[in-house]
Amino acid sequence: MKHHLFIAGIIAMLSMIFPLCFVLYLVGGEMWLALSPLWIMAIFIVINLLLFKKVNFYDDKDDTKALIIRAFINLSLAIVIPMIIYAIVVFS
Amino acid sequence: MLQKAQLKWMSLMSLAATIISLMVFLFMFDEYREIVAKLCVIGIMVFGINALIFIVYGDKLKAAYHGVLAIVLMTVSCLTAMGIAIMLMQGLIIFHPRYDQSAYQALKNNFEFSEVTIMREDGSKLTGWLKYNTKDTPNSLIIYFGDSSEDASGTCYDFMHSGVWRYFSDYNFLMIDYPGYGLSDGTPSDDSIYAMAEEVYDYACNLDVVDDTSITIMGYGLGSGAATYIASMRTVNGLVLIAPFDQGISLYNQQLDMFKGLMQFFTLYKFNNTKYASLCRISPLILASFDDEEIDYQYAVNLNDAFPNAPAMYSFHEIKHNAYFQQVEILEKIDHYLEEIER
Repeated sequence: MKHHLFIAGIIAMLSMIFPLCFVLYLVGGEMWLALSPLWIMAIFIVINLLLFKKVNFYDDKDDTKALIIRAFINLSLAIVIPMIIYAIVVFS
Repeated sequence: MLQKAQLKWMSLMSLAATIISLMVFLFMFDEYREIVAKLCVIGIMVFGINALIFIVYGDKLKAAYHGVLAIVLMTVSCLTAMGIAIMLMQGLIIFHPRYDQSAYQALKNNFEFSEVTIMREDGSKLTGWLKYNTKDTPNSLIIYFGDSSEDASGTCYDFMHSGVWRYFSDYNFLMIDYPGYGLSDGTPSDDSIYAMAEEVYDYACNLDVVDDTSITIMGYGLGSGAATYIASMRTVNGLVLIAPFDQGISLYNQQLDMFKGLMQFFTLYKFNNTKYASLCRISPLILASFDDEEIDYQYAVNLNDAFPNAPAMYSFHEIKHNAYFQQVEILEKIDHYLEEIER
């Protein structure tokens, strides 16, 4: 059950990438913006590689608490980074 | 090395973080909040359907076919999500509603302009501005339908500062905001704009200051759709089309060249100008530029060919889409056409 929900979640999120590319192209009209889901994802993959490989929150790598902390860090970055970009765009 | 379970979680978190960050970014702009909500609905729907399919069929399949099911569902989900997104968000391609509040305040304090509110049968309202030139006697009227990013207040204010009014000094001038634009209620679409155009025309005919036998319709860009429609449905004295287009699909492809073949069926806003042009009984003035970056010159030619009574079409070079009213030669052509039809 957990495994099935996991795959359904991955598929749902992957299928969100294309509409986001479409919207971002309409918003900005430029290809680098339309492809931003791809390069932002590359940045997050690097961050997560570091989180999972280098930063050991607990001895047991499958620990649920460690996963929650990593998810929290991802969520925080996902909210804070666009806010900083918005602030730079609006106030510069 | 990362374990398989860690890689799975890493990819899920990266994907989720990417989508959340882009959603947060779009959410901070007022005009895109609705889109974020729609995208969330699409995501939840796709997740729900996939979860249901996996829960029902996942356990029955052998491990080898599990991956095949995932790939099939992923392909179908991506195509479905893209299709729904195009259906829900194509308004972004065609319509760019705006409201210039500072221009509205400036016009409020100008005695030459009168704020117009048209109450509709469903209780919603259409708003705009009427510029009087002679208040005492019935006089000719120009009804102006603006482009996709024009609102009545902003346009009237811009015309005031760019000296455009000089060319329309013998006319009353009426511009009403499309549904969803300015202070007008509603949502912009081809049908709502056509209905609005008819209401505006009927409203204008009943005004004391307007000679209803001398109404000229002017349409610019997107407004050429409403202008052509009303010219085909009502009696008008003249029709001026600036940077017009032949049909809605052309506007889509101008922005994003992908609405061809089967993709045409995804388009909601048809704006079939060629059909309405063929019903017009008057000879319009058409002004188009080879260097218009938003509406291709060929679209104007296609529309020109659809009018049964030979239109007067003038082509220009080096005029960008938003610069038509800044060109003296354009304004002089309109002025000359207006003089001709008044004779």
